[in-house]
Amino acid sequence: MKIDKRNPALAIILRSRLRFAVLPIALLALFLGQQLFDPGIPTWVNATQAVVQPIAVCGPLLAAFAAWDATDFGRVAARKRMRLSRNGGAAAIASVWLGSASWAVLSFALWATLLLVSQVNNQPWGTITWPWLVSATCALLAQVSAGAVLGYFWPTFLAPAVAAVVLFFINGAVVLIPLLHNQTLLSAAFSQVQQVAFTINLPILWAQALWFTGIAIIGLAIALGSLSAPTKTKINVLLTGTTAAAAGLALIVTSPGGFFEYTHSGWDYVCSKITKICVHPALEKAIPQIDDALEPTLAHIERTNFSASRYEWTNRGLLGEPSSGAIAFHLDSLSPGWKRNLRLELSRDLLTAGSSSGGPCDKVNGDADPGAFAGLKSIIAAWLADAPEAALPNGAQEIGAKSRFDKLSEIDRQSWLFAHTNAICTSTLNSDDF
Amino acid sequence: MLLRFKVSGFLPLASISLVLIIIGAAFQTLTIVIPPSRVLLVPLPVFAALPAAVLVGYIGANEPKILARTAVRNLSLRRLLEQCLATVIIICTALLVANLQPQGNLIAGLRDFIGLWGLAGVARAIMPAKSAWFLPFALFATSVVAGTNGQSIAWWAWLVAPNDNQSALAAAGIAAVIGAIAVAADPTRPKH
Repeated sequence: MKIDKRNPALAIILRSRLRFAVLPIALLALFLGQQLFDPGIPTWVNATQAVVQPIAVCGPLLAAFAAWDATDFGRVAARKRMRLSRNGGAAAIASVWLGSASWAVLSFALWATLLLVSQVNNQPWGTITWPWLVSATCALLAQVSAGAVLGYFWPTFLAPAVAAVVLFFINGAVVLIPLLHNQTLLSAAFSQVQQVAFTINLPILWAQALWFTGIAIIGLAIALGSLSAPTKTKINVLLTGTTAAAAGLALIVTSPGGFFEYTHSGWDYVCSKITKICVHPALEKAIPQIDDALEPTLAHIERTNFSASRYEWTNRGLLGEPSSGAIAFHLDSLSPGWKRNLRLELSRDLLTAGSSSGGPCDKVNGDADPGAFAGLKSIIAAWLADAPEAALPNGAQEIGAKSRFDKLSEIDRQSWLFAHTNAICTSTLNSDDF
Repeated sequence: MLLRFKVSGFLPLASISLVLIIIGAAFQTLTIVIPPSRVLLVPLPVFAALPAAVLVGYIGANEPKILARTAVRNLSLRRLLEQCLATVIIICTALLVANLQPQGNLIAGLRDFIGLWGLAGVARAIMPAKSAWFLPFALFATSVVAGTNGQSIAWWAWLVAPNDNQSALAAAGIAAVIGAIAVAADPTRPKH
C-alpha cells in the first residue's frame, strides 16, 4: 500500500481493501435477510431482525478484509516511517482501524437501508428497534477491530482467512455453549426470531452495544500498544475499552430478563366483526385469510361444547392462555401450507388435555404435548381440520372405527363429539365408541 | 522436489488440514445443533472441512510472482497436483482413522472438504490469490446460519445436507471439478 505523504490518514482510509467488499457483502446480507421475513406478517421487529442477523456471516467477512488491510500496514515500509514518529504511529493505526470500520459500517448501512425500505410498502406493524440496530453496528465494529488486530500482529497471507473462520466459530461457540446468564447476547452472531406477543427489552440491547463498543476499543488499544504512541494515550484507550466492556458484560449477565420482556402489554386485540376471530395487530391484514382458513373447523365444532364465543390468537407457550370463554389458536407465518397447519394445530389442541386451548379438555389433567398425534383421536382431529390424511389409525380395529366415523353425517358427528367429550379429553376412547 | 514443497507451503498447510480432518473423523459422531431453528444438525467433520479445505486451497498461493514468470515448467499444473496429492492423503487418512468404514457424518465431512476445496480454487481464479477463503467461507457460513427454513434444507445449502443427499454429493463433485480446472488454468498467472 502506497501512502500519500500529504494526507496519509485519508489515503489509508480511501485505499482500504474493504471498499471492494462493501457491495458483495451487502448483497450477501440482502440474500440472507430476505429469507428471514415472515411471509404475510410484516412487522418492523421482523425487518430489524432481517437486518441484524446477517452479521453472523457478514461480520467475520468484513473482519477478514480488515485483517487484510492491517496485514499490509503491519508489513510495508511506510509503517516504519509512520510508527517511529511519536504521534504519527497512533494516527496511522487509528487510520487503518477507522478505514476498515468506516467501510464496514457503510456496508451495513447499505444493506440495512435496502432491507428496511423494501418493507415500507407492506406497512409493517410496530416500530423499528433502533437500539438493536445500534448494538448490531457495535457488534460489527468489534469484529472489524478484532480482525484488524489479528492482521496487524500476524501479518501473513493466512491472516484474513483465519480472522473470518476464527471469529465465526467464536461467535458460534458463545451462542451454542451457554455458561453465563444471557450469554447469547454477548455474541455478534446473536439472533432472535420475532415473537410479536412480547415487548423487546431495550436496556439489554444498550448494554449489548456497550459490550461490543468496549471490545472494539480494546482492539484499538492492543494495536496502539505496539506503537510508539504516548503511554498515557495507550492507557486511556485501554481503560475506556475495558470499562465499557466490563460494564456491558455486567449489565447483560445480571439482567434478570432476556431479549424479551415477557409481559402481555403494548398491544390490543383486533377482532373480526363477523367471525369472532381476534388477532394480534400484526395479523390484522390477514384476518380475512384467517377467517377463511378456520371456517371449516369452526363449522365442525359449532353446536358442540368445543365451540366458543371468541377465538383468540395467542403466543405458543408463555402467554398462550386465551381470555375467559375464548378458544386459543396460534399462527406465526403465512408460508405455504399455513391454513391446513393452523386448522390441524387448533384441532389437536382442542382435543388435548391441558393444552391451554380454552376448550373443554383444558380443565383435564393429561399429556399436553400433541406432537405425536396418532390413533383414535387423530381421526377426530383430521375431521375437524378437514385434513383426512392426518387421520392415523393404528391396527384393524381403529381402521374399522375410522370407517364407521366416516360414514356418519355432519350432525351425527357433532352429536358424537358432544357425547364423547370426556373420553376424548381423558384419552380413554376405544374403537367401540365409534 | 523438496524445495518446491517448501516454496508452496505444502507440508505445513497439508499437515494442519490433515490434523483437522483427523479430529473430525475421530469425533465424527459429534453433531452441533444450530439454534434458533433447532432443526439443523451439523456434524463436527463438516465444521473441520472448512478450514482444512481452505488451507489445502492455499497450497502454492503464496509463491513469489517471479517464479511464475521464470519457471520452465507449468506451475499451475504443479499446484493442482500438489493440492490433489494433499487431498488424497487427507481423505485416505480419514478413512483409515474410521477403520475404512466411514459413518454418515464423516462422509458428509469429506464431501464438503472436496466441494469446499473446489470453491477455494474458483475463488483463487476470480479473486486475488489470498482470497481463496472467501467463497468457501461465505457459502459455509451462509449455509449454517440460513440453510434451513426450519423444515427443509435450502437447495443451495448442500454443505449442511445429510450425507445421503445425492444432489449435495453431485454439487460437491461439480465444485471440485470446476475448482480443479480453475487451479490448472490459473487465469491470474502473469504473462511471460
